Amino acid sequence: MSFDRIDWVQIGYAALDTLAMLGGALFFTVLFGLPLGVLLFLTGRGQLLQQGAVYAGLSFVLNILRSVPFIILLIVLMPVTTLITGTSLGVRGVIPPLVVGTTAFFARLVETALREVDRGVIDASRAMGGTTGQIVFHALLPEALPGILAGVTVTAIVLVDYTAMSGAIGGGGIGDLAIRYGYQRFQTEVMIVTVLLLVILVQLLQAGGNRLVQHFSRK
Amino acid sequence: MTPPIISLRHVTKSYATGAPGRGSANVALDAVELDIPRGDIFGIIGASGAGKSTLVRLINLLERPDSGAIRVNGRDSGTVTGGELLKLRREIGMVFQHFNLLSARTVAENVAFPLRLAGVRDKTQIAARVSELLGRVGLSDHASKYPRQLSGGQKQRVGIARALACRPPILLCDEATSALDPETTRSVLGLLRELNRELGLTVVLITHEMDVVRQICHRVAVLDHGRIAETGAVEDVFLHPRHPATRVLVREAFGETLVHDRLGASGHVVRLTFLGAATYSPILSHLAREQGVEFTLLGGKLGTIRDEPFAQLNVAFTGGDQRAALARLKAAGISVETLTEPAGGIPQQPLREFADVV
Repeated sequence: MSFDRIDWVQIGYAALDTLAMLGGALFFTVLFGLPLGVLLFLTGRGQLLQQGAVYAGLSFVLNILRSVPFIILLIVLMPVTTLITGTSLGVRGVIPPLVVGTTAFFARLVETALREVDRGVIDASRAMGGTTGQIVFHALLPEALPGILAGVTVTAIVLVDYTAMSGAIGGGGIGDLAIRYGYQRFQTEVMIVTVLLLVILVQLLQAGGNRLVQHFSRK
Repeated sequence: MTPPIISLRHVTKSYATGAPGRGSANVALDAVELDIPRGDIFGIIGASGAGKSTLVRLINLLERPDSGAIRVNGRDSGTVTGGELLKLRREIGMVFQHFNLLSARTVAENVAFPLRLAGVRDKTQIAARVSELLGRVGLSDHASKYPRQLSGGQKQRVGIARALACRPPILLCDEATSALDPETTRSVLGLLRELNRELGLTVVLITHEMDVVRQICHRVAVLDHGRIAETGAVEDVFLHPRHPATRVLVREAFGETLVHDRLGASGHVVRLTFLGAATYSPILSHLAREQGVEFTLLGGKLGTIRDEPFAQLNVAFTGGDQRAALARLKAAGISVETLTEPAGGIPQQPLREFADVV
């Protein structure tokens, strides 16, 4: 085993690809997942916009998305991905399945974070004549911010995991290197380096997330 | 008399219990009639499960009654909807047991919150109002702190400042002091009384503690099993409770008074109620000296209602001219209730002396 054979430039590009997938997918996951989570919360039982049918329907769809293994989702979504981004390969080609795979998960985390908000705060806001929109934007979301940020952190780490998996179908990134060189070509040193990089990335994400949560916690 | 600021006419509210569509309805409020005069400190007292929480949610217009009418500040709440309903809710400032402050916002931002909900955008106007309110509740130095950095009493003061932000004519306090220690409770109640006096604010205090009602309320309604058991001036309800539920609440506040018949006291047992200046008059010793009536104190309670002193004493009279003594007590404005009459009627002047006169 020799580390001289490692192509560091290639690893560098792969790392950038992973970060791009992570960033892009996380952005869209939050963009879609946050409103879905809020909707899920608001239509839930005993909440501001209680709507049993909407909640049950939404819940059902999200559960289905979450129960499909990600590797299957990658393959099933290929035509849709091609339709949206023009390709099912590379960074652009994996962002849609990544987003689909984690949005449902993130929406649930948002719902849970909102449920943690003291009910009394909602009552107080209503008694002060707040509209539902005002209550969501001025009371619920700011109060739930630490919980939501913790959810973003967990989701980002799940995304790191998924980007590695998407390497298997030509998504690129560090996970792709690990599979093609480390596994298929028996270059154990590549495997070690890539796994180390992933470990470092996850550690950084978790530490950064924790600091953000800490910063916004006022309880 | 000006019309009441809040009135409930035959208000009934029930909640479904058990599985939807199957379980029976649980009646939380049953044909409640209530008038809260403008400018009063009005207590609504009841044990847990009496329907207090439901009453709060109806008065602050978060829920609607199944039947009956609720008028708030001249508006029939049943007819207002949408934006008008939100506006009417702003006419009632709410103070909560657990404060319900926004933990992610500073004290100043919490107080500004209702103004922002009401659509006030002018930052200098908001800042001026917030500093005025914080000054009033004595928290000017804490404007940039977060709620978790404050004590319970301070949090409640923030809650009160926030409730007043939109200048509501009514302050509705839902167990506002129940999470506070006695000393802090006194200071918060003092603040409420000050606001009532200086701003002419109508304060509605929902509580399970008779002691809170005794300290600051003018009038009180006793809620029991979803009905108004009795209502009246605090002095009357507190000193002469008629409904069993009220008696229980009074007893909780003051402890059991001695039960005269268990003491084996003989003679004529009466309950004397002194209120105001009469409390300080040495009338019992006058009776002893001038009517020759001897008295034994069997028990009672002393204290104040708001700032007015009262004494309620169970007394056994023996000997002397008790009829004259009773007349004298009544003439002095002291309420007399006979608990046990002596065998053979209330003694008058002894016969011998009577004979001497003849």
